[in-house]
Amino acid sequence: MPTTTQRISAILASAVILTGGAFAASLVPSVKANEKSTVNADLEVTVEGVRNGNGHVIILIMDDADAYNAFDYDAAAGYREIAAAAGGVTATFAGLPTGRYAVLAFHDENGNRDLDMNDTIPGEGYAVSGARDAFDAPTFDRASSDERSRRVQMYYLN
Amino acid sequence: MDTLLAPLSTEWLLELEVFINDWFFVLALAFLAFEMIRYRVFRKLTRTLVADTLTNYVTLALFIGITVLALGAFYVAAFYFVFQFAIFDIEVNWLTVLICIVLADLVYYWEHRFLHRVNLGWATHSVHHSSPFFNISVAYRFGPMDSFWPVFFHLPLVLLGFNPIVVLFAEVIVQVYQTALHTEAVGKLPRPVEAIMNTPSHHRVHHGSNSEYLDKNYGGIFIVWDRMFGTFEEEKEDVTYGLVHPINSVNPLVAFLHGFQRLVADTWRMPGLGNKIRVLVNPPGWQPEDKSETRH
Repeated sequence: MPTTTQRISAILASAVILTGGAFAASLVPSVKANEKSTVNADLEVTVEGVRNGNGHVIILIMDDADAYNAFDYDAAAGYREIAAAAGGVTATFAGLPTGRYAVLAFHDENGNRDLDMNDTIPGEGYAVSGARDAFDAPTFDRASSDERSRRVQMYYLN
Repeated sequence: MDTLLAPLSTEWLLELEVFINDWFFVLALAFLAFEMIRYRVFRKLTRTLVADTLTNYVTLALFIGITVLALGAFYVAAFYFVFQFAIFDIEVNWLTVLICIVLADLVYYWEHRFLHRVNLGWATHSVHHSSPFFNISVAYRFGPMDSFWPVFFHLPLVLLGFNPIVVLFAEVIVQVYQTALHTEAVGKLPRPVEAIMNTPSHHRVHHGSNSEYLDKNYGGIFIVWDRMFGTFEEEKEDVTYGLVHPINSVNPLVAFLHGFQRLVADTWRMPGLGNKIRVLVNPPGWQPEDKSETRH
């Protein structure tokens, strides 16, 4: 049977261990998200369903919802022009920080570096990640993903 | 080192906790089957043993019912209320979770010692000790308030700054480790293990009603707490399992409620309001020192 002195010293020792342990735990850092992002990985995008080899396929990746919604070339996290090839093309964006990216692409057949529109309907092939069909306009949350290998489908309305 | 320090999501930790708890239950059932065969081989498989084993799982069901219906909500509310006042800012990663497990084990030591040495705690914890057998199903034999007292002992960890889910995870790890010790099928482990860790041998002692084994070996994962605080006892003579005053029943309701029934009876019998209160906070078997004072 422990004596009262033993009991009190045991409780005090426990209090010290608990406080010391918690204090030590508070000094433990986590590997921060931005530190982790210095370990950059490549993002590979494959555009499927390119109908011919005319002009280029222009691929943009967006890491920001506003840039994505505004289709803002300047704010894109990555931009590639790949010579079009019937069937599909692939582009690699090297050394991207971790995070979610949405993919936008269009088939610039006439080489004007713009997605031509017939009224409100795209006059050239276009692709958006996460889209379920040609008329789907996914939000950034749905279009973006942290996967490092992405496939998007090209749609043509003319 | 990066794996130890990579941030963990608490949602994921919660899923892992449920996963470990559930699958350990399945493994324990498989191990119980092995223990039953072992009892059969030693010609110890009796009707009482089988009935007692079933009783263990009935108390588990009653315990889970009470926890889900009432105590669980209290638990979560208390933890998140206290977490607002956290003293330290502690990241959630494997290293801090490991620290929390060690501290939760120390806290468990005190919780367990309280459950044995204060009648209010013993009323519920004596259910766990009321089986005269020792196999893994006994680990699942719970009393009605077994999820109530742990709240208070683990709140200091939350107050110190450990995330409530990390504390819950640590509690489950301590619990699961200790569950695995409820067996007679494992003898003594190598000396260094027996020196530091809690083992089936140490825990058999804890379940003994032999006078030298009473109120010993409270530890969860580590036995060092008992060695440090003077409550350690080595397994020497054969262990007589169960209570000093056995319940002599395999009725689940008798097993589940006998502790409170005894406490109510003791309190009722105590002379004077002071003694009625004192018996609640004193160790089992406590009697007023001076019975004459109640004559006035």
